[in-house]
Amino acid sequence: MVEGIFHGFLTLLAPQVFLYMIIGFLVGLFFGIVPGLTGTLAIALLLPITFAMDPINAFVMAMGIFVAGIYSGSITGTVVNIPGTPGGAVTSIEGYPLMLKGRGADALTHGAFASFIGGAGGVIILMFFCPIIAKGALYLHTVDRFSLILLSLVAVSIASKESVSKGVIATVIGVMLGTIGIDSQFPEVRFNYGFVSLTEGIELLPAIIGIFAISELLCQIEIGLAKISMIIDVNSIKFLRKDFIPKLSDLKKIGAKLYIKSTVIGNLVGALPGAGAAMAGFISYAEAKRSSKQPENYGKGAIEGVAAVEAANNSMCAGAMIPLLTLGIPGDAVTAMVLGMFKIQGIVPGPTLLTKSMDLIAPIYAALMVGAILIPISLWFFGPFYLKMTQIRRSVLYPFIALVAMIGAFSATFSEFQMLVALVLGIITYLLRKQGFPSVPLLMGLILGPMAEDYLRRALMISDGNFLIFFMRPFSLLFLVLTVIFVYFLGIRQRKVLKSMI
Amino acid sequence: MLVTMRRSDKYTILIILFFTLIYIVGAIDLGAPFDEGEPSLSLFPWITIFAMVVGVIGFFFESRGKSSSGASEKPVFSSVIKPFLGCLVLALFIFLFFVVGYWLSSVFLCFFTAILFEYESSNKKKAVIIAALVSVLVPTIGYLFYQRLFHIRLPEGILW
Repeated sequence: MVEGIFHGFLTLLAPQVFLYMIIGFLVGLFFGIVPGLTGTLAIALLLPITFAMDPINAFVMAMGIFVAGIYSGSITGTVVNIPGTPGGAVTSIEGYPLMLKGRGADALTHGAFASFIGGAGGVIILMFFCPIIAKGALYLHTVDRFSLILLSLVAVSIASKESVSKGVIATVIGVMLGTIGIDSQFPEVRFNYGFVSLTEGIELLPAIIGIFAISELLCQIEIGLAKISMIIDVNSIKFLRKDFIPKLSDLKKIGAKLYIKSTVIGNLVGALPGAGAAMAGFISYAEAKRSSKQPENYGKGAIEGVAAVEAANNSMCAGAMIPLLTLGIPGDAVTAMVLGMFKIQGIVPGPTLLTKSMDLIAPIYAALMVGAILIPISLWFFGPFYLKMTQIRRSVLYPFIALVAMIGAFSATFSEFQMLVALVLGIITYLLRKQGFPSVPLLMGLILGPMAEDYLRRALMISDGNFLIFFMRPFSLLFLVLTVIFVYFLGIRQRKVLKSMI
Repeated sequence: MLVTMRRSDKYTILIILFFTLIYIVGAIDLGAPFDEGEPSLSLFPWITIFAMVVGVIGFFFESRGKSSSGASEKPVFSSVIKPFLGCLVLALFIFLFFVVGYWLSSVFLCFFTAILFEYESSNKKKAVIIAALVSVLVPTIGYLFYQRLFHIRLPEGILW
């Protein structure tokens, strides 16, 4: 395996592959910094062109976007209190007060340094645990797989920030949409209501573009050119490169223990379905505050808070890849899109992937690791210009996104109907988002729903329709018990704990 | 009981129930969930419907606690006029894309999307100039990116 990983790094260092990784990293950096754009949106927009790309180039580019998008989402949160991503909102709790105290550069520096530690540490955990989990996954029966997907669907539903019921409804809408079209086991069409076009069902790529790109476009059209009020005058802020060197006193204050703990938390949370960067950051932040000797400093500009959130956020990137690479189950929106890339390339992710396709997986590890290393370097290079990027006129940016989204939907399927599907899903997601429904469970339902149905039917065929089979196999029972535990901890207890701590 | 809820939540529940009802009709068409002891095509849709009903009941009880602020509450879809126009532009683009080809349809899409963003701009002349520049530059970049770099064949239409 070590040899395979070494080859992965060598593959990444090939000029063309490395160029794609750098392009991905820069795109992710830009999309993370500009409020309203996210790394997820960047991957959604670029997904269709991976049809025409070499798989390794496509994967390393996606990893570059993922790592940079997660990191850079906190930059504007720290500097002007307008986070570029939900994960960045947690960083701004400490980053922005530091900015007001005149320590903005320190906040950005330690954010980048912690991102590097978390990102690199997360990849090491990923490389260590993936083969172990993949070996265990080989023993999973159809029955166990259904229970595992059920666990994922429930976790995705209840991980919704504001409301569990909204998360459940969004997931179920996705599952319902996934049942449209020809059935995977019987040659019969379902839920087409007489429309021949619906026979082909809803393709994944137009769905991703609709749910993420078009809904975002409509949200931004609604906002228009509205100026976001900023206490700080952006033009008055000037960062110098010499400011982006971490101070030893701050590093001592943060301590190795906090970096390690946050990295592990981020990785574990990342591996949970539907959790994402915001939850990883929140839990890590809450734990850092709980274990701090000076918890009263939190909320007023504690550099340890910035480090805890950023280490966890970026460790999450590697953690999120664990269920996809070992079980073939995506845990969040980005890994769902990576699953789409696997499908485009005709690769089936799952337990055998690590043994059969290490030549593809190792460059993913390498890209995540190199992406983490590039974070502090990018701060040094681009730090002085970050705020300029947020000043790009929206009437220039969003027509570009509109065109890329629509051509992306076309190039994925060459079908007028699927372009309309992307538009309709975009409208549905936009209306749901307006009412506070999350969009990620919608996509997860659409992806995991058909998988769940397939395993459910096959399991019930084996058991002659007896549902008790799900309680008779040890792994299945374990996943069902975990589902109940998740409901308790993620859906009920965690909300109470976070409310009391923050 | 519904009157104690926010108006937007009421509409949301009604719309979700309406579409769930359409889904139920489709599920009924598929027959019984089990056929001679084996799961049929309708089993999973019925489980999905059950999950939706649970979700809607949960949403109902969550929303019931949040009383309407009365006259101060904005009409539900008052702010969606611009997004509606955005949808219209996107729908027309899809239609034009296959009729007049990539160039004219993308110029149309970019111009009107830019106009939707510049709509509130005080300097209308500048807004139109920006939209015009965007509608030339963006389709050109898109053409170079898709057709030239990635060899994705775009509809020729009437200009080629």
